[in-house]
Amino acid sequence: MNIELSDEAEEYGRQARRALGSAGGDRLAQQAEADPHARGALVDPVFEALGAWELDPRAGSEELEAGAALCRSAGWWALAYPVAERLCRPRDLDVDGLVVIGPGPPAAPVGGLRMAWAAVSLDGWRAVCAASPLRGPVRKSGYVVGLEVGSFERGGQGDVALGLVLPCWTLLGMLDRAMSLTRAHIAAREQFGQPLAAFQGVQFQLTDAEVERLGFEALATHALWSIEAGRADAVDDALALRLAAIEAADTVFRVCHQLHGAIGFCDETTLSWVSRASVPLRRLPLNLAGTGAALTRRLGRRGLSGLFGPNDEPSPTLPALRPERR
Amino acid sequence: MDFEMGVEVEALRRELRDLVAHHVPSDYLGAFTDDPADLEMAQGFCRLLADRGLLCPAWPGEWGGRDASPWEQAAVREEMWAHHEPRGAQYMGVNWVGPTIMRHGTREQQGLHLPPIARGEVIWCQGFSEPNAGSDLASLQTMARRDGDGWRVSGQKIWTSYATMAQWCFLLARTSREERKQQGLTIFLLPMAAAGIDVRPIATMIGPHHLNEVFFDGVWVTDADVLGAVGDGWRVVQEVLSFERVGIARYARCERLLIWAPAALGAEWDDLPEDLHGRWARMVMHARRARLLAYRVVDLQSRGQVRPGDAAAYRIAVTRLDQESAQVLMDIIGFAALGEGEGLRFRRAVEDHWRYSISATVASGSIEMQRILLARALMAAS
Amino acid sequence: MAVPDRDLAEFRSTVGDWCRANVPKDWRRAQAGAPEEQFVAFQKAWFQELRQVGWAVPHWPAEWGGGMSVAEQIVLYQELAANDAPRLVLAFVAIHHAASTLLVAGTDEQRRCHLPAILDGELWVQGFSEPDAGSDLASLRTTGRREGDVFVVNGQKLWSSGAAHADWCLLLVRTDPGAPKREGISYFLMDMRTPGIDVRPIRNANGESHFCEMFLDDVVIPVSGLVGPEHGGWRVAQETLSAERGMTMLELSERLGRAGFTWLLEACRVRGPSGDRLLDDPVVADRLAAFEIEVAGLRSLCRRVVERHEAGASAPAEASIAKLLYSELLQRVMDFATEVVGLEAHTQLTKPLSSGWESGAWMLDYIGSYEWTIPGGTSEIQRTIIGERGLGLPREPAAR
Repeated sequence: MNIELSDEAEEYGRQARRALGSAGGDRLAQQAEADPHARGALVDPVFEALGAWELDPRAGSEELEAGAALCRSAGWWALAYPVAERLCRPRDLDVDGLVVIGPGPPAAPVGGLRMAWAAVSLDGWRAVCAASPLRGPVRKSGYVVGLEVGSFERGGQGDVALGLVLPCWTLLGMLDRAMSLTRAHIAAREQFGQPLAAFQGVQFQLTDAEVERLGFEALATHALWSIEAGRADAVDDALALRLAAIEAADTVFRVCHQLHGAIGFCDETTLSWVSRASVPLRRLPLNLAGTGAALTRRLGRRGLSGLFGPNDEPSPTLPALRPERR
Repeated sequence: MDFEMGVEVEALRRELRDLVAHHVPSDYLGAFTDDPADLEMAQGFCRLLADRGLLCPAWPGEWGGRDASPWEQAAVREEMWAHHEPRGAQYMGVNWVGPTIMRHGTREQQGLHLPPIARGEVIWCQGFSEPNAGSDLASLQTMARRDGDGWRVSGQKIWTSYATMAQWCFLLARTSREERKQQGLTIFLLPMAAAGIDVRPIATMIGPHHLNEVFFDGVWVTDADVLGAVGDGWRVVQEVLSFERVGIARYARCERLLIWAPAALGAEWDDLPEDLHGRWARMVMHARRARLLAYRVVDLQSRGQVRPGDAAAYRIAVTRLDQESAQVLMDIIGFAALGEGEGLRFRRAVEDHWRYSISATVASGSIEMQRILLARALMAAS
Repeated sequence: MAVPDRDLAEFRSTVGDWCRANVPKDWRRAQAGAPEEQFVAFQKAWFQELRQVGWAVPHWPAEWGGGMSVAEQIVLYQELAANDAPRLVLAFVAIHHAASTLLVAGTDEQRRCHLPAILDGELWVQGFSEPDAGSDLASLRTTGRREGDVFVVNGQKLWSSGAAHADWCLLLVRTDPGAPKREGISYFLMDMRTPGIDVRPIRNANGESHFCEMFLDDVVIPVSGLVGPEHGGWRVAQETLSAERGMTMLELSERLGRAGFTWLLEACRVRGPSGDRLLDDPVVADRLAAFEIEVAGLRSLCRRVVERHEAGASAPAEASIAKLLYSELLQRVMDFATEVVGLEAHTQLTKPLSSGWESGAWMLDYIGSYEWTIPGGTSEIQRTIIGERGLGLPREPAAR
């Protein structure tokens, strides 16, 4: 058993977080909002320096784990840039990135970048597509635009799990950040003569959010390994992760907003930016209900792989230490 | 990364599963039933395990173990709890009484107690909780007063599992009044056959599982029965509680019952309401989530590290899983006939799981205590 | 006062007919993304429409222009909600908080000066919260120094919704810094045209800016602006806050039940491109049914609260129970709405102003619903009140 990312991947993630921090940190999301079409140019030099686009997550565990760590760091800064989606780029198509699309009208948070995209459906049909122009203020659209999809072809089966899992790592980084901001806030903010953190009602909300975040992290690591190991049920694992991710995000952001109080809705708090940035990732390509339904369909009568398989119950006809009860 | 436990652990798991399949009746739901045959079955199964070095695999060879890795220990916990703990009361002796005696006991105490535990011949009970000392254990009042060259124990313990069948009690009592309530506590290894002990079963709604009150009225113990130093009991108990914190692999039983459900229901599975299929799938995910959280703790343990927040987070997740999965499973069996054969066995197992799960967020460190521990760890880190 | 059922039924059809004739057609479209001035003009005009028929301030005493029975008010709010009439969001503080302050604790002169003016469109803002006084309101630090017949006020107020448009402000100020914190506060009516007041909007996650910060720099308030005794403002605030509870929660619960939830049902009845209706999905139907039960329970609780309040038989903490239920249910319904309506929810980017907390722009409603568990006593404070006053639990040790 080895259930953590490699030290190299973790170190790469830390470097990426530092580099994005030096390049502006939280201001990057604000600058992108002010000028959405320049959002690529804002971060391109950092990603160049990090060699981000030379990473091929399909090339093996090292690069896959590094990619995940990079996504997590981008999430920490609520970076307005589809890092995960670009890392998922299929090497056999002439595109800049890949998004998974759900049963609804195809859409993704990839507006304003002038790039070519591949879209893959949950059952592995793939098409080249173009992003529609940004419509309305990005603070409300979250850079989500419709996709004009070309003709679908088979061949994307290997893209689905990766396309679901890496964006979850971005979301995980956002949850890391939201929890960190909230811990700092309740330690500093005093009401009734003491820090909010001294109130058990506050502590218990925080712990329940942390359990969600840790559980999400554990499944994120597992789903990554499932891709690494080329497991046949990597898509099941990815959907299970996505379900946990959305549940965790719902709880974590609800708690973080509640514990921040009204200030958490305001642009001068980082939480407001992180929370808004998380919304497209939680809704697309499948929201909570859609993810649950997709997972349920795939699991059928089988369940997820684990300690027990569907046919593991022993037949009771064997000699025993005491007779069966009637 | 690698989420496989490896061939050795899997071989151990197969061996345990074969033993269960061949020796444990498939309607067995735990040893603490009112049927003495269940206790007998559990004792017999323990001897079987002991013969194969599987009863206390984590122990060093010197004491009858096989120095099993933390991952092998995890597999044993999973297989045993998944199959309704066929070791019965033994897991207490094996999981923490024995290891604590190994660390803190005298050579004599080790010689007296460890071999019988390793052979599966002895049952221990835990004398910690009192009517006025539950989550706040350190405020316990049971006193051991110095009397000649020994001690007289008087007081009351409560929620003591297995007290009716135990031969020994791992007792925490107050030997002196000090400034802090955590000081002046001492551990005694006390024979349950001693004069002045009165055990009264408490009727509970948790089905056949027994709890007891234990009254001590001037019970005589000697210095030879003191574990560790007099007055140092709290520190040792903290260690015991940290053994318990990894504790029971509740997720394994949840997962087994969830995965068994479609086969147990047969064709009726497909007729369940759609949203129940969805809740089932969600629980399957949550069972995996709790298992992976347990593995984080084991992983740290295998590297000799402890992060108290992680253990508490796992406990919160797994006890909630226990209750939520029980609810979903109860709803599932409500839609099916399950009147005979495999279906009936499944229904009985689910009902037992549901009754037992009620206490999951209360037993061995309530969920509130876990939240306090996790909150402390979280705020210390920031 | 008992109103015969027959009269109530008649009143219901009167309100319904009036709404169908007078609610501006297409007001939602016109108010979606409307500029601020247009929103203010629309609100003021709608207020006067309602005033003409006697429905702008039905909860006021008859002598000031109200006098409607509780039973009729319930019918009125049900029908306004069912007919999707615009809400009086801009005058909310004026007709509820300001009016109940004046009626409960004001002088005759203050009432004569302001109640008719409110009917003519005078707008009010609440100046209570401060950066360091949120849940712990009594620790507020804005100071008022008495100088003869005036108080000179300095400090900062936060979350003063609508301050940019307000004519007057309900202001809590520390006038005796030496006294225990609840005993040194005075309650003022402050004219917003007084020199030294600086109002700055705060942009929130929705991109709206109805929150404001208010900076007070040597603002002079005459002694005649005091409500209640000098240093006795804390009690005035407590009394006036509890006086407004019941009917506003009732109105909101009717909006949720008869407007928001109904639209959600309609959205689920629409056939998608493939001919399917969301409603045909058993999981969706199941969750809608569960929400319907909760909404019905909430509406019935809110009706009971106002009826018992009128009968003088209020149970302790029931207003807190209603608020807690409403705010948490609102969040869950909006969450579900964004979930089932899907991408459309995401691209609906302008919320019609003048609507309730549920406007049909689900994504924005969802983000907006987050706010509700915080103002007017956070959910944590409500739970503390329910525990202490409702269940008789001891005071939270940490809160002493």
